[in-house]
Amino acid sequence: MATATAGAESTTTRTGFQVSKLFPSYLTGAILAVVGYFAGYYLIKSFVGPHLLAGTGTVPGNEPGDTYNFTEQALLWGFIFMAAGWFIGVGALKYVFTWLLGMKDPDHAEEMKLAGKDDGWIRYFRFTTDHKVVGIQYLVLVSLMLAVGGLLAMMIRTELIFPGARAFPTETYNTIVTMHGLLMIMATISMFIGPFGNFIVPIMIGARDMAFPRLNALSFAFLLISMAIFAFIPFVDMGQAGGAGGGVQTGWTLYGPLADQTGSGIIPLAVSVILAGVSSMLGAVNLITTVMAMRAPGMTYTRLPMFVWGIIASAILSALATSSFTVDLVMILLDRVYKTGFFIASTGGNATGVYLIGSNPMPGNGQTIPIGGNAWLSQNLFWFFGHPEVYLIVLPAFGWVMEVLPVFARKPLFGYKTGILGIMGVTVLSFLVWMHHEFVSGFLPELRGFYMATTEMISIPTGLVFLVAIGTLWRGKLWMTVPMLFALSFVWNFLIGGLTGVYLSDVPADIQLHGGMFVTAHFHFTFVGGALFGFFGAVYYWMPKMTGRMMDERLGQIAFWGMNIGFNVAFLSMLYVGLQGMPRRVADYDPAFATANFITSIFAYLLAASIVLYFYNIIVSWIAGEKAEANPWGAKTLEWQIPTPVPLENFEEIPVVTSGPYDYGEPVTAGSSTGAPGVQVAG
Amino acid sequence: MNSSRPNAIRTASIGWVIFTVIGEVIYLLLAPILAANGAIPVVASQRLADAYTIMYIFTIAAIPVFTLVVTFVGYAIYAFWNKGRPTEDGPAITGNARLQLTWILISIALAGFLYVVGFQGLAAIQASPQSNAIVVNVTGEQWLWNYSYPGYKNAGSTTLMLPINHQILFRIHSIDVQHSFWIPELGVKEDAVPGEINQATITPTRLGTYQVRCMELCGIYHAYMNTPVEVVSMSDFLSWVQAQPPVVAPPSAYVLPSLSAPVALVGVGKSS
Amino acid sequence: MDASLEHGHAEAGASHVSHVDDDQKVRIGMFLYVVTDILFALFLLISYLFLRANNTQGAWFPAGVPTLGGVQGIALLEAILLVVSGIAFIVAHVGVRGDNQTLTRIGVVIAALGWLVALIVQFYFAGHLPFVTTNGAFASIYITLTGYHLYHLLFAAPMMIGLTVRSLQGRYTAARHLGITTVGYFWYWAVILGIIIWLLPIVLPPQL
Repeated sequence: MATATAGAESTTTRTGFQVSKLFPSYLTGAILAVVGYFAGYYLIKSFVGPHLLAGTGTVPGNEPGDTYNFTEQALLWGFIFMAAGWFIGVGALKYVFTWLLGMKDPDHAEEMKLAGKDDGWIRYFRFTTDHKVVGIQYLVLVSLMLAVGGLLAMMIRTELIFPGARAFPTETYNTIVTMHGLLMIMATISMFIGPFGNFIVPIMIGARDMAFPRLNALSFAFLLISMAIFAFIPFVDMGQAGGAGGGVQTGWTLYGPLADQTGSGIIPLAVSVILAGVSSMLGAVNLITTVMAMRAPGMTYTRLPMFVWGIIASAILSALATSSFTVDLVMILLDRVYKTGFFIASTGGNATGVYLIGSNPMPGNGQTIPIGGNAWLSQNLFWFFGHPEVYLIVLPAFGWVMEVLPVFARKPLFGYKTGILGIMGVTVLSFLVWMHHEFVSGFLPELRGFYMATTEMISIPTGLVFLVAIGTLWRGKLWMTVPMLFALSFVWNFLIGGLTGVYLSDVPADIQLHGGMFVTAHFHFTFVGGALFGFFGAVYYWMPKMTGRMMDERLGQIAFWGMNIGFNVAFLSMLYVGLQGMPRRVADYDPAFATANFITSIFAYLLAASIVLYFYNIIVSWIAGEKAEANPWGAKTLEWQIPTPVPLENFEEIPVVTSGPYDYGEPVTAGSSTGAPGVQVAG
Repeated sequence: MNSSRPNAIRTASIGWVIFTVIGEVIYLLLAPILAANGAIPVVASQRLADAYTIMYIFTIAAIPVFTLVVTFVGYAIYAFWNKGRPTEDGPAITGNARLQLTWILISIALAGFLYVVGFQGLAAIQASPQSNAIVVNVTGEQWLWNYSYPGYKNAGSTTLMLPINHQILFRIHSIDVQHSFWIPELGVKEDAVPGEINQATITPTRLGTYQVRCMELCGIYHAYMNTPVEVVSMSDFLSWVQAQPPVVAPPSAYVLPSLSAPVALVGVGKSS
Repeated sequence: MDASLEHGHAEAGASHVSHVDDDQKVRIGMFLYVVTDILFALFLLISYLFLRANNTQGAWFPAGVPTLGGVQGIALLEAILLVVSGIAFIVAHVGVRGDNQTLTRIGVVIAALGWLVALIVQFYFAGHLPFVTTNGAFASIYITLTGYHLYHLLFAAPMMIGLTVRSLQGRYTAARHLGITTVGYFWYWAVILGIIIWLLPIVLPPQL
């Protein structure tokens, strides 16, 4: 904290880069994080464990010579101290201390300094509260997460290209599957809310910043340290029982008691995912508050752009559902480190002394000790989060598609309120369907009929989005830009994803398809073909506003076609192999599935190559792209009405909104969109 | 205003009907051929045949929905494509209440239809087992399956042998982590959960050698947790099961409900 | 980094008249935080019920331990302390709304003292549990619940210290009451959770 305070006082210079601006910055954060990790690790390992806890009977692992338990405890506390060091180092807690000590409240000038006023590029590498800086930070981090997650996906496809495991040892493969799943989930949760929810939404509603700028910067700091800890997963091996080595071999569902038994990577994984969950909850609280309290005068709820509705629905799900997964992860950590028994029914060794369950103390003589935990608890806590979570990912993409279709069809949105009904209907219903993931779990089988009904009902609000899309396109003047292509491919891919989902909602069909590649292909159609391609389209659409540069159209179109052909062939082939009966998450498979897997792998490479091309396009265009005008698409929402680059507080004067966001095709009168002086209404 | 295509809706609707018919015909012709050539597992029980019938009906119902969206979006792209940047806007249509209401009603009807179709199959699955069903205890463990037949002096085996045309009641359990017991050809799938006994019934109707697969990631060798299952005639089954050695004591898992005397736990009774 | 990312437009001296109701903003934000916090506790309580109901192993309450014994009394003491603290907080809230500095200060100081003693008692409570984390399902979930309560007491530390310092400085007036109002949202919930921890073994006896 001392460094943070001292650094903040010394950054009084006007412009340019000074070394003093590194204090505090992410550099000091990283230094304190490393210090914190070693401090926490050795505090437990060398002091608290052997000297205070051992032999006292207050914690498990107190048997003589039982150092292994302290090692995992030390690892856990190392990561907790690491996160604490990070937050102190980046200066995130400075305001807490000034408030607590009753010091002077920061005035507007100090707030602006914290928002990066007069800082150069260094503001992207420090705790900066400006929502636009946070948006760019999220964009870069989410892109990196997607790139690493994609690399892991390619490793999976390489392993599965031929039957007979070759590329990786089985335990490494399972770790790759787990990391791919969780990394992609965290990336896709953040990919709309992070970059565009932060950068675009406050401008769209006519606000000068988010409701809580410090909280906003804090939620990014949470995600950053979460990802740093995530990187430890493959590398920690604490020699736990069973000899599973490093990594985590559970898949992203992290079902107990497998999570209690797997490699030590579960500890950085659980800490990392808890931090990412806190990050998304904080971001959600911030976004909901911003939209509820900071809309410009005249921006009624029925004049909100659809993208804001998508983000709000996603934020509601994030705020209400993430706690469930956090509880699950806390239980996994406690089971693992403090030997509780949330997911362990009973424990014991078989006659040969092989440890069977978890890492609880076990006699190893065939005797069974009842613990009373339940594995179904893990399934329920996970899926109560897990199902709202898939809509959390997809709803902003719904919003984005309905946002850009009017812009590029030059027509008002067809059925604005129907679109809202669709988004909100999905939001409400998504809390009532989680047990369709447990149709074969044996938990309350009598309820399967009810969850089948709710799951099939969710197709009704989802279908409304298609109606809105068709109605908006109809008789429009379609401008086939790359974002428009991505929006149209969303309709195609999500249609396939939705229709295959209907099979899985049905209990008899699901019993045959559950846990197989059909499910994997189905949700990739919604996540990748739907949400992720929506993200790529959104990057192209908002790139001119966020970076001041246009993206290259020709490269964008090549990448678009490569992505969609590669994706569709790969995953249609995966649907087929799922129908044939190939299980998910296997390192090896029956030769009967060979042809389809080979096709999937080859076209997955095409998909990956196209995404690499798309990232290349982003980077090159960002550096040397064509300069963008303020409103290159002729859109009517507020973010396009202000200059590019966007000034620090967005609006000189807060605009007054007088009509809806999609009033295309109506006689243009000056000031019909906003009452702000100098604001142009695009024709 | 785009007045050059006054018949757009009619043209697209005709296209939709044509594409739907083509799609249905292709599907109806192709589905049996694909099914016979390995697109789905061999069907060896009535339950699985019913499940595939449901999927068949769903696909027939899904084709018009798919072609509707694709034809209308495709036609819109074809007919209303504006080469280059549009210089003027399209018509200011903000909605059509009747169309929106119709759409909602039709999708409710479709969802209701799917539910009714699915519920028929669910009722068969939920039906309580027959009193003469042959009980097979299935125990998952990392990474193999153990079976015992409590009706036949607790005969134990690591391969599964089932008689044809007789109902089997699986009592599925795990002694370590969660597994999922699946016989693709019989269409029976149920999780093996430690501490719980799940039940599933099935009546095999076709002789042959099939495979049990684990469908829930259960650790390092999950991919290799496959064992054979044979469906044989009742007489073959009886002679086989009587030749199997009995499992000396049932696995402790199966006496769970009566396990009322807990063993002393580690660290209990810490003085405070 | 791209030069066009530089914002060239400085806003020195620009008016900062806001259309935003800061009062409403902070209230919504704190309310939403408390909602996520309540949900977390709710999932823990549901887990308690879940494990209690699906208790197939005959293992729930630690064998060899007759009752919760003394810790139940400690939990009651703590609940009383928290209720006193909560009532004092209401007094402070009434005081700040009525611009009564004395009442505000007395209320905040008593609330903070109640918090401090409750925090110490909570550590004493944790040290006197008759079981440890390895002792089966009840021990697992009960210790986790009390740990979550401890988290609230620790998380309240900066709030309580800050409120005490700032109210003694006389910074809370009828016009600037947000600190007390919004910390109140959190603190009332923490008090309720303390009462739940005490009531839980009474309403749902752990011994089955």
